[in-house]
Amino acid sequence: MPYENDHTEIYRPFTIDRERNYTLNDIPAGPDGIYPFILDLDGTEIKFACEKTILDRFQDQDGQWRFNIKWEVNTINHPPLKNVNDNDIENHISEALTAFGEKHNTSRIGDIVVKIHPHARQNKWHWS
Amino acid sequence: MNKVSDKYIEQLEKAHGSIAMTLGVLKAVEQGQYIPSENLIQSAKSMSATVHPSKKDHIKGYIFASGKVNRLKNIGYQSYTAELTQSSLQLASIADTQATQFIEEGTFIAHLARSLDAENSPFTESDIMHGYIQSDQSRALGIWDHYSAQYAANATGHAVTVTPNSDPERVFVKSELPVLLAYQKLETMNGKPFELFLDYKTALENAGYKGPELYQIIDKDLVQGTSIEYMRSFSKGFQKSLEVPVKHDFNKTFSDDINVLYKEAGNDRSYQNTDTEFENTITTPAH
Repeated sequence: MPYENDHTEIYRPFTIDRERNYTLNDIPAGPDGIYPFILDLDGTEIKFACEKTILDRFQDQDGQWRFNIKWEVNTINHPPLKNVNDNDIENHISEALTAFGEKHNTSRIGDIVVKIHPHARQNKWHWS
Repeated sequence: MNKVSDKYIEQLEKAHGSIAMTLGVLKAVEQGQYIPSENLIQSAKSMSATVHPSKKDHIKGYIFASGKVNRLKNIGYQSYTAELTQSSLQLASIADTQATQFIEEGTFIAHLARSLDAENSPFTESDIMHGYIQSDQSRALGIWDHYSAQYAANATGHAVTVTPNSDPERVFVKSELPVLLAYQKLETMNGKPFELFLDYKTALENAGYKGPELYQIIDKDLVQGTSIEYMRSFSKGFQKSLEVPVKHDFNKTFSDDINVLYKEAGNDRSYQNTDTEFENTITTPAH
């Protein structure tokens, strides 16, 4: 089951099944450019909101425009996770966002970098 | 990926300003086809960014926001704008517009991403929505700028800004503040009579300031400080989030009563005492 999505191609939600079972539900970004997501990671709900920065835009050897993207997580909220550190969570988020990008914009996503801001756990989650 | 037939583009043009009709056209486009991004953008711009009439009759003012409350800790304004909208102040935000509903529904963004991909555009859907930094380091305007300017043009009554550290290149300073000052429909901003802001603009213009720099100065000198002052009074958590010492101590120059928002603006003329000070602090720009 590589992806689940509705037929309208609206961004939310979808499930990927690689090594872990992910469901990523995106909450539409408003004018502030903050992108909130809810990631279901093996049954644990990780709510995070991030800012998207295009680190690099370049044309590949076929002349196709591609984008390397940094997602800085400025708010994150989740129950305690055993044996999972911030790097692990960054990797899970990166994998989910990569699949998300591949689904919707297959040829255009280059590298994705995810970084959790040190204060992200203290910031309030207020998206529905 | 193939471009849709002209029939779809004609239908999209006919759907001008109607969310239901526009979504109907977008959802009828078959997989493997795309609508040119130029047509999509025109369609998005036709959506109304004024507060819905059913809500407009029940509100007393409008919220504007930009930048971080605390840059080091990456604390955004969102929890404070949410607090304002849920308060008894009866304030509207841009989320109360059809334009926001249209974008947040999701179909448009999905189509825009598909079109930009098909056209091999060097821009992403974020660039189109939020603008992008140009070679001269200024930001090209996005669709949100278009909506925000329309939202500001229709703002009346009392404005509250959550802009303690507004970015001069973002939507508030570039697209909303100039329109608010041009249309002059507000009674107060951040609890201060709106004439205060208009007078300062006039003083700066007389001193030779113009264009983006004019609004950056007004924002930095007046709007940021009054925003901090107002929001500190409104929300206990704001000062804690702000953390850093307040940059502008307006209590020295303005009335101590920072809850002036819903008082008669015309009764508070304390700001007049500062006019001379404004004139004295303006220097002729070195051009």
